[in-house]
Amino acid sequence: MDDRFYYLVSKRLTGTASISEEQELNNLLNENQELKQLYHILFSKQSTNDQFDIEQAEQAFATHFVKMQLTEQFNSTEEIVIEEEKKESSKGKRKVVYWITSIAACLLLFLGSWHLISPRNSLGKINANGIAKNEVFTKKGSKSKIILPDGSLVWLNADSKISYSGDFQGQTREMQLTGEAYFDVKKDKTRPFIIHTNSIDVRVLGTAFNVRSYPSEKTTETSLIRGSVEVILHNFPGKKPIILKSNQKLTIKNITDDIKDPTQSKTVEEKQPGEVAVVSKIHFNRQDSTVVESSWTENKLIFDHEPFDRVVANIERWYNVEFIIKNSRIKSIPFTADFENKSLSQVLEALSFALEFKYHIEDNRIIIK
Amino acid sequence: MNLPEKIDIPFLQQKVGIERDERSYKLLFLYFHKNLFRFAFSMVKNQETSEEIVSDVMMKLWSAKESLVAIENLKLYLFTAVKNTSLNYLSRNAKYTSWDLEYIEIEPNMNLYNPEQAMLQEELATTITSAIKELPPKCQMAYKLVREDGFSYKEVASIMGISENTVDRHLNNALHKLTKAVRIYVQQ
Repeated sequence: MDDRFYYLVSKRLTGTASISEEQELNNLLNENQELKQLYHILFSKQSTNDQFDIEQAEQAFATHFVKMQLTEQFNSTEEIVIEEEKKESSKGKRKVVYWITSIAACLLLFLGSWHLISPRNSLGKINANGIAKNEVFTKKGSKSKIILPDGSLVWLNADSKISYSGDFQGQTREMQLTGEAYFDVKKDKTRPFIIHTNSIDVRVLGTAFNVRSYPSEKTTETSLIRGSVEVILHNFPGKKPIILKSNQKLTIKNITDDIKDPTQSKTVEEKQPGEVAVVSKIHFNRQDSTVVESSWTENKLIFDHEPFDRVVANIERWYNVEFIIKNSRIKSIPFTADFENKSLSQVLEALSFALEFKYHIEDNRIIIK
Repeated sequence: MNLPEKIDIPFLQQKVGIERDERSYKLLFLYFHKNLFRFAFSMVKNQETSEEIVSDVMMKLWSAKESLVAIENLKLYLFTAVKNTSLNYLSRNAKYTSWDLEYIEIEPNMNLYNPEQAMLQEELATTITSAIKELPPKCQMAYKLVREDGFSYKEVASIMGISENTVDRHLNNALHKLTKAVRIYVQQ
């Protein structure tokens, strides 16, 4: 009897049951309570896509759509390849992962210094047209938090600069950025907020995001925490802007005047030549689920699988020091750590322990042997 | 965006292939995403890779342009494409295994054995999903393609590259084992 039951059920499931077979199955189920129950449990009609699935699909589509936009931009030039960020393969390179949790306690040297600046106190300049130009900049070793005239907030990382003209009351709210800043933009649909960097423009309506565009780095990164932004690539004028949604990160190769030595690869994730744009997800700190890309605003220095030379560049800015690395072995080792309110010496101790190197300090320079 | 219960796929093929309608394209993506993703995942066992595979296949859908309309059975086409891409990936990464442990818990589709709907207890739902997981891989795949994705024997045979008889065998095996598992549970 069971075999017949299986046969009929499989016919029904595959949509190949004849009318008499359907009838037979229905009779069987009606006559046999146990089979009816079994059938009901195992084979009753599928529920339609529920809310959770739709949200997942929506998210997947959002990322997919950005990739499509990038592909459409670059269709004309064959050599350019768009790829979603891949995890780096170990390929025999030594991988050292070292977690340092923040030590709860007393004396921690507070690193850097925070200045709360309102436009009145900012450095005001008059440019050639007689229009007041406002500039705020940070040196290495310090950060700033700025309140713009419209109420938007800007956190400026070390060695960075923003500038905007006049009283910020015009039809658009525009500014220039070099370096790294985190924006919390006050919503104003009538006045787009536009950030100009060397390689891209970012256009916002109301949202929270991080833009990283240091001249010394190869890429410009836009990480979207909340809301949505439009990114316009300078290299491809006239093309449609790329729309980013929350939790997405767009990394663009910087426009450079000359091509630097192509044999010198600085990253473990050896990006293929010609890769101009990558869309990926923002990283979350494993321990407390805060966003890695913007944790500098909370004085947390977080590294997530970063090659050591990038780690060094970040530390140089954060503490305003200079590194001289004599040990080429360690340059490309990926490093992961989480420093909250640590002093430079604590960071150095941790690094030298994890990566097994010795160092000494001369003037303001740290020499790694 | 709320998904309608039924969608007219050939109509959407036209909208997308010829009219290049982005909204229709999104609808197709949302409609097929879950099942394609699960199918890719059942082979590559990695969440990121599965998303990439589905994205690649859907990208090809868009670039197919007018030739999209010529595809008679879009669902079959998409599943076959996902299967081929997944197998390519696996053969290229023969030495690379990555078990996305978090995700393995979610699949197979728990919602099909919806506790509220069928007034089941959690335990029963777990019993069923465990029983499914215990099926041999090809048997599991055949069962899922029939039960979760609604394919016919012929279509399953086509996707999996096996005979219809083999599909029938797999299905019978699955039904047998599942009803057995449920019976045992119910009798306790």
